[in-house]
Amino acid sequence: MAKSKTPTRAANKEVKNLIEDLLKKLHTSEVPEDLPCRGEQINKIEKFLRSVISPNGESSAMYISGVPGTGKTATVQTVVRRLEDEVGPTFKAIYINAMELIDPKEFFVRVYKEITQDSKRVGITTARRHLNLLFQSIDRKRPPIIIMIDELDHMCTKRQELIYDIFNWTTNERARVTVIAIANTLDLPERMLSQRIASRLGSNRLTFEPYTHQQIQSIITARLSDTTAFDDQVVELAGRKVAAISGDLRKAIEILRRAAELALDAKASRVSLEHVQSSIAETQSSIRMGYFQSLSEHGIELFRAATTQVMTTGVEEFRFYELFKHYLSFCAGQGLDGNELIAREIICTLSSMRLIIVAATTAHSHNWWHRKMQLGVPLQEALDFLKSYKNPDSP
Amino acid sequence: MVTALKGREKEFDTICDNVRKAIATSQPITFYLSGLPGTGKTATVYRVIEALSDVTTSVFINCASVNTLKDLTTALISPAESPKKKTRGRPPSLAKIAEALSKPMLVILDEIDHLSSSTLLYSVFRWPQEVSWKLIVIGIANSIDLTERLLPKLKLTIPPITLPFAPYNKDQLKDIIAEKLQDENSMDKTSLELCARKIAAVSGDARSAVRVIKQAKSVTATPTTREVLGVLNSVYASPLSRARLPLQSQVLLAVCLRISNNKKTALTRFALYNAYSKACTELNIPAVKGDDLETAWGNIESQSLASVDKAGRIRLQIDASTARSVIANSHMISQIDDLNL
Ligand SMILES: Nc1ncnc2c1ncn2[C@@H]1O[C@H](COP(=O)(O)OP(=O)(O)OP(=O)(O)O)[C@@H](O)[C@H]1O
Ligand SMILES: Nc1ncnc2c1ncn2[C@@H]1O[C@H](COP(=O)(O)OP(=O)(O)O)[C@@H](O)[C@H]1O
Ligand SMILES: [Mg+2]
Ligand SMILES: [Mg+2]
Repeated sequence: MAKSKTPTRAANKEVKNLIEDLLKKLHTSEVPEDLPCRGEQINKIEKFLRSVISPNGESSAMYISGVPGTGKTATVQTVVRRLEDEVGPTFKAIYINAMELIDPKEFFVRVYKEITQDSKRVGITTARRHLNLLFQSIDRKRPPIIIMIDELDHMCTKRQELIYDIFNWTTNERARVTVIAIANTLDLPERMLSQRIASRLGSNRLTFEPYTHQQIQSIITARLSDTTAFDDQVVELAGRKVAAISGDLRKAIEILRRAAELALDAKASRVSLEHVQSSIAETQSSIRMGYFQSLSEHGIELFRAATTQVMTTGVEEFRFYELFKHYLSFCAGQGLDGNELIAREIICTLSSMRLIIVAATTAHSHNWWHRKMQLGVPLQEALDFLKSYKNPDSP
Repeated sequence: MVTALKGREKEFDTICDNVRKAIATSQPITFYLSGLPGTGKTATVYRVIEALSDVTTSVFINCASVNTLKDLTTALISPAESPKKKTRGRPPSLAKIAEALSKPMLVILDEIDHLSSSTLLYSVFRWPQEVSWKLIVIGIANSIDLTERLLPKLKLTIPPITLPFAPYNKDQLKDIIAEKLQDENSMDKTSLELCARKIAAVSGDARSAVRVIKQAKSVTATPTTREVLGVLNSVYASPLSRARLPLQSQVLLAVCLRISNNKKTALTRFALYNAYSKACTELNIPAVKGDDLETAWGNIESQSLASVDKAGRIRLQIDASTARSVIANSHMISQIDDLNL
């Protein structure tokens, strides 16, 4: 990097620092002190927590929902941290992200260890039994416990007995154990949990709406308050792009980070609209496009055959022999030597990439020739892939 | 003297009377208590345990976590002991346990449908007959027909006494809330009535009713119908009145609505995406693709506006007028309605 000896080197270095500083601020693991646009949620969670840890607080439960990147985790953790700073160790907060558990049952071990501060190995069954017993009894000397379960849907087992136990703890009002569960689905309790769990979870619900583009803009602007390396329009563009699809702040930050990296690479002094546009274009070129580009020539012709079949018949589903006919004629056109064995092998590859979906075998479809298949991507996208392949040099 | 929960006098008396009678004649006896969540099954049984403590001991087992024969037997011998004490090796046989009993024992098996196998489920109901009349089994679960389904297989000379716990009605719920709150005066009569009426209509669940009121009271000390309604809506209103959708998801939903209106055929994601990309071209909205498109669809699913069934067909979970209000853009809807998709 330090090979240039031009007179602008000092100036360049300054620019580099500016943008590097920016990149650091945009790092997703950086949780800001302030969470703009979430004042209402912060207040509600804070009020809830204060009431459950107050001297005559009762066990309770809260369910928080919202699509990814709407600040659920950040908000809950921030409120808990602030409260801990304020009141000290008068309550115990335990945060567990269920997605990180290898086995959902590990949850009990983690909670048990946090409560007992015991580093000894303990089995799942023992930990669970201990906890069930602990929360059945009433011990005024034990500080209130707040358990946060992030990504609750990952705790769902077929019989839901784990989630049942957890929310059943909160039905003993004087055991002073409170559960805050976080997930994406708005009505997970009603839709996916059994009625007896929904009943125990209760009616304390909090929703995090997807951010609007104005909100995304103001959150990011606040986060980058003292930097000048961005145009307002730049943030606005990223915000608009993301708000139209998901309102996921993480995505907006990713776009801007990538834009800043592009600016850094280009030795630009500011992050411009152009950088953001190319950053957006990059993130859009999806994983499947990458898969498509990695296909062999036979793979491309098979995919083209499938697309042509759907185009000409207008029917989504087709059978292997129909596909094979098109494939053979395309191969002939390209001077390729197509045969059934190769085709079958590559269909498996395409299917593992979800570019083509092969229907499960039924009693009648044992015969490969009659296997049913579908395109794994929308027709329009398939056509775009093929178009981009025809002239791979165009941007 | 221990008395029944309000509204559960009949169930309470049935259990107590029958147990006393069975003990007097050394007859085996089993019970099966069923009913929707929050109808007072567990609470009633706790009262029964107390009321019968002069003639029985008891062990309360929640089958959600104790669900194998080994676990059950272990729980029977050391009901009160801390789990720290490990029982190495095989626990003694049921017969041994029963023999050692000084008094008959109420064996409460709550959430009994969680038992690891249906064979075990049959066999626990046979314990009193086959092992000892001193084991008095009381099974509890939600579904009313659990024992009916298994009765033929039980081949019992004495079938379990089944006690269905009916959902609470409005007046019972009002009493229960008042009792739980103790200071009735802090509640405004109409909002109490509102809560009881709504919960009676959807579930008759005392636990929910009490939670709703507590939730409302956490908003203000003396909640009015406004606060109660707010809490009720956050749970029982259809999810849509609470949903907010990003633009692309709105377009997808509008296309979904348009197609499902006109076509009798099944709508797949594939067909939807094709129609969507056509609609975007016509409407001059930049269409998204690939993972962005998946994300936009994901919002619709996670807000329960539509779902995809096992066969890959899309099903709207809401009626047309709610869909329109969620999309909240009548101009776009009418534009899409005019398209030939
Ligand atoms: N008749 C009643 N009077 C007062 N409180 C009641 C009454 N019925 C139920 N409750 C209260 O409602 C709550 C739920 O009751 P309980 O735990 O007995 O429900 P359940 O029928 O066992 O439900 P589940 O099937 O979900 O286990 C408890 O707090 C209980 O004290
Ligand atoms: N209102 C906000 N203000 C500042 N940063 C936010 C805000 N909301 C979310 N973030 C940031 O966006 C990222 C994603 O938020 P997170 O809480 O992890 O989302 P979720 O848990 O809803 O998926 C985090 O880096 C977080 O710090
Ligand atoms: Mg999160
Ligand atoms: Mg119960």
